[in-house]
Amino acid sequence: MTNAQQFETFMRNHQNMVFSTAMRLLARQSDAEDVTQETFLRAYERFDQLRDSPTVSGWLKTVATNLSLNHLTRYRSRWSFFSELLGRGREENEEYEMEFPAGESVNETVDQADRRALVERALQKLPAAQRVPLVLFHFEDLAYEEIAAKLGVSLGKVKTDIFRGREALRQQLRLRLADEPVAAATNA
Amino acid sequence: MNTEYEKQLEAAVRRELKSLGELEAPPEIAQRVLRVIEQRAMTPWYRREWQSWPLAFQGASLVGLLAAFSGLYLGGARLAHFAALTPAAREVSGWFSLVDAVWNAANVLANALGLAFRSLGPAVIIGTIVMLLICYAMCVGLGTVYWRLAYAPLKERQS
Repeated sequence: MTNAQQFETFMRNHQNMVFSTAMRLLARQSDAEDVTQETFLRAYERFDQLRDSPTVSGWLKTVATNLSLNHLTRYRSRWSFFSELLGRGREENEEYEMEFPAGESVNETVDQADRRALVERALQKLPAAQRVPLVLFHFEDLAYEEIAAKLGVSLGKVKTDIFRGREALRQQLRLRLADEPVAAATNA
Repeated sequence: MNTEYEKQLEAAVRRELKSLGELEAPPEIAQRVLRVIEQRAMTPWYRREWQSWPLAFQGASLVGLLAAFSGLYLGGARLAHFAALTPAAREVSGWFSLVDAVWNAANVLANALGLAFRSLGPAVIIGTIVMLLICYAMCVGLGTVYWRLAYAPLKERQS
C-alpha cells in the first residue's frame, strides 16, 4: 500500500470524528469541512509519527477543536459587532421550528435516528456563546476552568452560558428531569 | 440557581448528548484533502511557505538576509564618507538624494496640514474626522447588512 493510500485509509477511519468535532463547534457545514480539511493536511505533515500513534484520535480532536475555535474567533472579530446589533434578539429568543405531536412525549413518538437528528439540530441552533462551551464540556470532557481558559472568558460566564444552553436544550427537546412528573414535562 | 435542579439538568443533557453518535463526514472530504496534497507536492519548494522549505535553504536564506541587511546598514553609514571620492558612490548618493527630496516633500505636506489644523480650528478638523468615521461606519454597516441579507437565505437552505 502506498503512502497516499495509507493516508486515505487513515482519513476514512477518522474523518467522521474530526468532522463531528468541527461541526458541533461551528454549526456550519462548509466551515466544518474546511476545518476537517485543514486538520488532515496538518496530520499529513506528520503522518510518519501519527500513523502508529495510540493517541492519534486525541491529536486530531485537539487540532480540530483549536482550528474551530480559531475560526470562530476570526469570524466573531469580523462580524460580531453588527451581528449582535442586528441579530441578538433573534438569536436569544428564537423559537426553533421543531414539530412535536401535541400532547405526546417526544421520546415515545420519534425513533432513535430522528431523535438524534433533532438533538443535533437543537444543538446547532444554540447561539455560539452557549453551544461552544456546552460542546467542550459534554463532548470534549473539559472542565469549566479549562473551557474558561480556552475561550478567554471568566469562569462565571462559562457556567452561565452552559446552564443557559442546557436550559434551552431542555425546553426545545422537552427533556424530562429525574424528579419531574411525566405530565409536567409533556405539557412544558 | 438551584443546585439540585442544575445537577438533574446536567445529567439529562449529558444523557441526551452522549446518545449522539458521530456525524457522517461528506464523502468527498478525503478526495479534497488528497487533491490539495497533490497540488502542494507539485509546487516547487521556493513557491511554498518558508516554513516548509528544505532546512539548508532556510538556513541559507537567513544568512543571506542577515548579510544583506548588515551590508545595507554598513554601506549606508559609509556612503556619506566616500560620496565625494568615486563617481559610482556619487551616483548612489544621488539615489539617496531622491529619497531625501521625497522626505522633504512629506515634511512640507505635514507642515501644511499642521498650518491648516491651526487656522481651521480643532472643531472643524474634529468634525471632519467624525464625519469621515461615520461614513466609514456606514459603508461597513451597509456591507454587513448586504452580507446578512445575501447570506441568511443560504444559511436557511443549508440548515
